[in-house]
Amino acid sequence: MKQRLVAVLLAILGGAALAFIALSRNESINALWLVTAASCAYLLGYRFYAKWIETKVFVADPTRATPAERLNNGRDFIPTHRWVVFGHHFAAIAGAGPLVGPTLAMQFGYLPGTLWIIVGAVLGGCVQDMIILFMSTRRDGRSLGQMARDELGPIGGTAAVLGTLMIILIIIAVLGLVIVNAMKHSPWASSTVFATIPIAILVGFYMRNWRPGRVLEGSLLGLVLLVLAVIAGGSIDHNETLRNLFNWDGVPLAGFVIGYGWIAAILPVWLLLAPRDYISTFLKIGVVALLAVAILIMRPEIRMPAMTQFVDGTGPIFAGKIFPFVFITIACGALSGFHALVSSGTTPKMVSNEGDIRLAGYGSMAIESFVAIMAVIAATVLDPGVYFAINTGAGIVGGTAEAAVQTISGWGFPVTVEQMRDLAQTMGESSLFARTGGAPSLAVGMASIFGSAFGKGLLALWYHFAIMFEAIFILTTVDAGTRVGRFMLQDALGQIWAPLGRTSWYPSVLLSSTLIVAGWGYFLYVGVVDPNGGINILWPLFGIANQMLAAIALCVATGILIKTVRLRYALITALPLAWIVIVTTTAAYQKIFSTDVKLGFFAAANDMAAKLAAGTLTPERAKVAPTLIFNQQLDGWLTVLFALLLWIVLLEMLRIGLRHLRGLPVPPSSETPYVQTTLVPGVLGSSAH
Amino acid sequence: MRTDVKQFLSAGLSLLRGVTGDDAYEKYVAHYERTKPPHPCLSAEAFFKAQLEQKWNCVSGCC
Repeated sequence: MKQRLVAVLLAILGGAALAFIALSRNESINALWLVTAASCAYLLGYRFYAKWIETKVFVADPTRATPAERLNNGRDFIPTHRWVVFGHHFAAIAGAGPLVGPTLAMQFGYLPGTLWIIVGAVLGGCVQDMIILFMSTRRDGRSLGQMARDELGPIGGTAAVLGTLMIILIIIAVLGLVIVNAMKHSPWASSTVFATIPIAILVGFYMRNWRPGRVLEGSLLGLVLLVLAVIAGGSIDHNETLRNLFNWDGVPLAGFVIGYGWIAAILPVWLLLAPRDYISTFLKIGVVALLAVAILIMRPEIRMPAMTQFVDGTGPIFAGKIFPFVFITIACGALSGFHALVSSGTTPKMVSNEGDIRLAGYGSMAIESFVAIMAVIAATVLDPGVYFAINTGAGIVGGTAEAAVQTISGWGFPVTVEQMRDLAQTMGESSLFARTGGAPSLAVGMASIFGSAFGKGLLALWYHFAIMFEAIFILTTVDAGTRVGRFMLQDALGQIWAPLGRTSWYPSVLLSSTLIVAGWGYFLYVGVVDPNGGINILWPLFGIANQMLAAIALCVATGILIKTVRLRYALITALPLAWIVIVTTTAAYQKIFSTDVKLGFFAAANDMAAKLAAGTLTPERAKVAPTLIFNQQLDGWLTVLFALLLWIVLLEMLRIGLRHLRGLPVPPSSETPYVQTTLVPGVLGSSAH
Repeated sequence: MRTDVKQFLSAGLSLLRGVTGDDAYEKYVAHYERTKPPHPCLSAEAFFKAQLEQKWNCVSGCC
C-alpha cells in the first residue's frame, strides 16, 4: 500500500515536471525541473516496467545457477554482490559519449534532446542493456556477436562483428578530434593531458611492482597527482617559455594522439592503459556525484530556449532536421548499441543471481542517462550566444571574432567579442571561439556550475579539471578501442593466414595495430584539417553506426523473444527496434541522397569538386579540398554499408521469426539448461563448485 | 550508534574494493583454497597481470 502511494506520488511529480518542461515556452526554467522529471521517470521505469519484464517476460529465477556460479574460476567467472556488479557495469558503460552527444544536440534547444534522453532510456536503452545482459547470462556470458551467430545465423554474426569494428574506428577518431580541439592552442589543457601519461605509468608500476593488485591505493595516488598536474598547468600557462612549449596546433596534436595510440596499443596493458582506466573510474564516479550535488545546491536557470529555429535543419553545429538527427546525435544516454557489447562482455560473468540483472542492466543505464541530463544542463545554463560561439566551426561563422559574433547575434543569440574575451580569460584560455567538439563548452558549463556552488575564485582550475576529466576517458577509449580493434582484425586475418591470427606474434601485432591506427588516424586527420571543424561530419557518422549496432542488438533480442516467449512480449524490443530502424534509415538516406551540400555526403563532395575545378576556392581550402572530397565520398559509402548491414540483419531476423511462427525449423535457442543454484543467499562464493 | 557507522563504512569500503577489483586477488586465493586445482597458485603480481590481459583483450568499456 505504502509502495503504491509512493509510486502514485512519483508519477504525479514526474508527470507535472515533464508537462512543465514541455509546455513552458519563451521563459527560462530551472534545471531542477529536468532533474525531477528524469529521476521520476527512471524510478518508475525501474520499479514497474523493468520489474514487469523481469517477472513476466523472462521469469527470472533466483534458484537458477548463473554462469558465474557454474563456471566459477575465481577470475572472470565469479559470483559477485549485486551492488558491485552494478558499479562495475556503470563504470564500463559510462564514457565521454553521454557528455558530448547531448551537448551538440542542444543546438535544437533543450526540449527535444531532454525528452529523447528520458523516453529513449526508459523504453529503449535501459531495456536493451537489461535484456542483452539477461540473454547473455542465460547463455554462459556469450558476446553479442556469438549470440547473433547462434540465434540468427552466420550473416547476423558477421554483420555484428563488422559493425563493431567500424564503430570502434569512428568513435576513436571522433573522440580524438574532441580532445585535439580542446587542447589546441591551450598550453594549460595540453600540459595537463600530457601529464596524465607519466602519472598513469607511475601508477602502473605501483599497482604491478610495488603493491601488486592494490588498485584502490594506486588510483588514489593517481588522483592526487592529476589534481596537482591541473594546478601545475596553471603555472605553466603563466610562464612565457613553458607556455610556448605546450602551445600546439591541431595537426601536430592529431599526430601526437595517433602516435600515442599506436604505442599504447602495443605496450603491455598494466603499464599505461589499465592504471589510467582505474583512475578514470574514480574520477567518473566522483565528478558525476559532485556535479549532481552542485546542480542541487545551485539550482541553475536554463538560458537556452526550449526549441531553436535550427529544428528546420539549418543548424550550425551539425546539419539535418530535428527528425531524425536529434535521435542520431544523442546515442549514449538514450539508446546506445555499444552498451550491448558491454552487457554481453564481463558483466554477465559476474551476476550471481538472475534477480540482480534489473539493477545492473536497467539501473546502470538509468544513471548513465542521468549523466546525459547533467550534460544538457551544463550546455544550456550558458548564454545561447556563448554556446554557439564555442561550438560552431570557423568555416561557418567566419574566421574572426567580429564576424563570428555578428553571425551568431544575427541568429537571435546575442554575444559580444568582449563577453567571449572575458570568459576565455576567466577560464584561463586564449580564445573560446570555434572550440568545436563539445568538450570546451561542457567544461565552461561545468566550471560555471562548480564555481557557483563551491566558490567562483577557481573557475580556470575547474575548467581545466573538466578538460582533464574528459581527456582521461577519451585516451582510455583510444587505447582500449585500438587494442580491441587489433584483436578483431587479427582474428579476421588469421582466417586468411593462420600466423597472423596469433595475438602474441609480434609482426602480426605490429601489422594489425598499424592498420587499426591508420584507420582511425585517417578520419582524425581529415577532421582536424576540415575548416568546419570535422565534428559536423564525424559525429553523425558515429551516431548512425552506433544506432545500427543498437538495431542489431535489438534484432538479436527480438529474435530470441519470438522463439522463447509469447509473441506479444517481443514488442518490448520490437517497438524500440522499429523506431531505431526508422531513425537510422532516414538519417542514412538523407546523408546519402540529400542534395543539400551541408547534409549529403556525396552532394558535399560534388559541390567541393565543382568549386575546385572552377578555381573559386581560397588557396588554403584548395590545398585540403582533394582530401575532404575523398573523405566525404568515403563517409557516404560507409553510410551505405551501415544501412545495408542493418537491413540484412533485420530481414534475417524477420525471416527466422516467420519460419518459427509457421512451425518450420530455425536455429534452436542456445539457452543453457537449468541447473539449481547451491549458493546460499547473501553468502557469495559459498558454493561447492 | 558507533557500531552502525563502523558497519556502514566497512560495507562502503568493501563495495568500493569490489567495484574497483581491489579484492580480486583475495577472492582468487579463497577460490583456490576451496577448490584446490592441480596447477600452482599464482602470485599477486602474476595474477594481476593475467587479469588485466584478460580484461583488455575484449570490449570491456564503452565510449
